[in-house]
Amino acid sequence: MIQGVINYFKCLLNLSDCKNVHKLLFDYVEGNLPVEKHTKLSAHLRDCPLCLEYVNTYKLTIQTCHDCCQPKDEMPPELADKLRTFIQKEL
Amino acid sequence: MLASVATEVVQPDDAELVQRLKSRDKRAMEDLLQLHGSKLYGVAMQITRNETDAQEVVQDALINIWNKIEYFEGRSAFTSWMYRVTANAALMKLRKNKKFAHDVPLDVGSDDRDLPQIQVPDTKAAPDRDLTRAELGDQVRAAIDGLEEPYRTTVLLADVEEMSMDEIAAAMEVTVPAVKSRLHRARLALRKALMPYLKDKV
Repeated sequence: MIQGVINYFKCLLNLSDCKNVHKLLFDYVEGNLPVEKHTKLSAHLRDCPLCLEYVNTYKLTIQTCHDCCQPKDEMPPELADKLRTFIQKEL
Repeated sequence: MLASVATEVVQPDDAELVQRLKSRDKRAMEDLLQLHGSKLYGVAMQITRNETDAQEVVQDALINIWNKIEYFEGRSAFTSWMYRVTANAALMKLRKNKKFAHDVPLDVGSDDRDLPQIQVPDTKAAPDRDLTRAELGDQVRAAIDGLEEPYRTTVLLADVEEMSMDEIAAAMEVTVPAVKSRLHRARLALRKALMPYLKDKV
């Protein structure tokens, strides 16, 4: 509880850095930031649990979408037959 | 015993398949259809969300694979290359159907007032139990399907099909910054919609 309050006030003191996280989030996650900016943002994340949760849930959203949405439709047999005929006659 | 031998399919590996395709062996296309047809169809269905369109997309993809196989240099897995060809064919279909009529601004603020809207039932309330993987999958797919275009297709191509920003920009005929902006907005909107399911997992 006390740690949560301390973290909250630490975040208030670092608002400009927090805004930077929002601004740089995409390139940070994609690994496109210059080393200096990446290092600075990583350092901020170590001190700011709110921003850390923000970044981690953003990353987890990407991972979850990837893992959960792999196509799983089976090709209908009649389409497979039609395409086989197409390959034999039209290609 | 004989029956099981008769129905056993010897699956050629992809390197051999590519070699046969480059030699213009039509039987290799039939093998490709048997081995990878369902995945190609799945990619087409995921993007078009329409069986008739998906069927045409798979046929277009097969034509493109046959015509462009000589340009496949093996820098990526053959399956990834085929899926990209299929995704491109699906995008062509969407473009023909004028699904990408409007563009979006590039600036993304730190608040979420301007995020794409997602219509997903019951995602506002936190689940009262851990979802099974299948249930979570249903929620994620519903959230992605709830995104308006072009956000839905952008996030599918980038985060599910793992196409590069350059490839997506070329396929969707927009700039790379536009792809990045769309993708970021889509991810933020999905994050917001899926938070009840994600927050305990970080």
